[in-house]
Amino acid sequence: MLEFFKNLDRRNVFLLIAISVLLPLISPLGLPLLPDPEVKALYNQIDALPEGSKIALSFDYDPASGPELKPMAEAILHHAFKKKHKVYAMALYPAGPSMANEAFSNVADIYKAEYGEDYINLGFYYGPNTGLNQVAVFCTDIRRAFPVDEKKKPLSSYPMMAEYNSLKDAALTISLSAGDPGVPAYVSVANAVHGLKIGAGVTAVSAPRFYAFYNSGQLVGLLGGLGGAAGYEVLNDIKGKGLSGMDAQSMAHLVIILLIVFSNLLYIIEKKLEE
Amino acid sequence: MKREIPIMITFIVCLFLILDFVIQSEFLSKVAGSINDYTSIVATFAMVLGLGSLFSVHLNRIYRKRMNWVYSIILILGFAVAVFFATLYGVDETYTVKLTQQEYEQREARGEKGLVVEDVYYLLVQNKKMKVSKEVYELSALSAQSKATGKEYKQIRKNKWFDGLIFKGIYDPLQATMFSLLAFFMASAAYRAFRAKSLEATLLLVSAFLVMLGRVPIGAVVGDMLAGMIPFLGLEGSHWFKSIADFIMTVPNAAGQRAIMIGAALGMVAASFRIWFAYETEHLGRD
Repeated sequence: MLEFFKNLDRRNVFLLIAISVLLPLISPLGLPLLPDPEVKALYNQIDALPEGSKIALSFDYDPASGPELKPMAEAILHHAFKKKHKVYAMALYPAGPSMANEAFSNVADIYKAEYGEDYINLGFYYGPNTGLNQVAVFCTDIRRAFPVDEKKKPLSSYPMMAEYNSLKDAALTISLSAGDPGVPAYVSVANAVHGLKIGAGVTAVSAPRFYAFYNSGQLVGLLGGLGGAAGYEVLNDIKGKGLSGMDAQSMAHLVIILLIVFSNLLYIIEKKLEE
Repeated sequence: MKREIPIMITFIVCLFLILDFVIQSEFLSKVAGSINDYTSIVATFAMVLGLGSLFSVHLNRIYRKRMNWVYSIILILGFAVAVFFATLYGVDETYTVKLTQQEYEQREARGEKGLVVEDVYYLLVQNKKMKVSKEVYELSALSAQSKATGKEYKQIRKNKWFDGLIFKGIYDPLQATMFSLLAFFMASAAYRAFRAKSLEATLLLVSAFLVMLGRVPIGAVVGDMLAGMIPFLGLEGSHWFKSIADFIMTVPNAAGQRAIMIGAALGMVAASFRIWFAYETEHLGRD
């Protein structure tokens, strides 16, 4: 018996995880969620901006991190459009502009936000992997990075671009980042060199790295993983994919914890038997 | 000179970038901006080089029929199909087709969607029409004889092949699947390897346990249950798991991360100085 559980086929573990994720997705548990302080901080930053403020939103992710970062993007867009802020999207990832289009198409219509007046997708700017060069250009002259928008139209044809020349014109810059290039570049250049306010949304696996930036004030707010997105949805009073995914994540965490506890019990029993 | 010239270029470029960081000057800012642009251009060349290398590796694998060479065929086919459709229709959600007035009217009569008519502005230079922006057309210095207007007929179509099939239909779900597989492998690895074999491993285990429960809503349910089961611990409210997880993330985790980042940054500064002053020339090759 002990041997069976010790050498448990990993497919059994996979099955347990699959069931624990699937069941709450089919039948949600509706567990209450308390937003983290760093999530509240980002929410408060956007909420405190005067109506019509400019927010730069960098889509620095691809479909692999979409399940975690897309709910964040949509929750932030809900909030920004509700407050009638202008959103300027750009990307350090090649797939970023498509991610931005997807998020805009899911949210803009609800608030009757118009392309070119309330939001714009500037596209992807290629450069070295660190992203430092790209962000340096965004901070000095956005038109040098994006002479045309993602629809290949000159920026001068959009009214919302009239007073937007660099990230310095934005009241807040938020990077939704799956890794590098992303948040580290915005912190190192936009914040450290130009003193701009930076918010971040990152995957759960990379979130621990960014708490140091949040504690030092280099990030004004931080959304970490699906929990961050769900917390923002709670504050924003919307039911998005973040909240629905948290039940599944809760169950998966619980199953993993139970598996770890069980495997450690086996380990202790085995030790005792050996003695 | 084969080594001296690159060393000199490295020194001058680094000097301008460092000076731009510490001195507020329009000239330095322009030079640094240009260097940033050049870096992006050079990085694009690296991308082409990478693609070439990828091709050569996989063609070689197919030619020599090395292990898993069938996957190399799929890679090259996938690449060729993506490039084919991207060349035909672009990589955006929609693509635009220019129409004649007659084609436009025929399609409008058929009730097709995405039809657009746009005003276009021209300057007449030596009997040739040059397309210009509306702002240029409206410049008062230009005489009426030197200007003309016209109409452009277009149809905006959905990019079903590249954006619909390749990006949203194949690439998007495949990438999400690859990332999602992590959860399954992590669970399996945790079951097999996460054992309290030493003090360090036990500390890691306990903190992982607390953070995993504290970061999800079910932590509050478990917290409530435990608080009821072990009343002598005096645990108040249902969010005590979350409070402990928040403490771990913002205090010990942030301190550790800071130490790693500061250490890495100091290492990077030292390495940069070595490259700047040519103590380190490995990047120039060995010849």
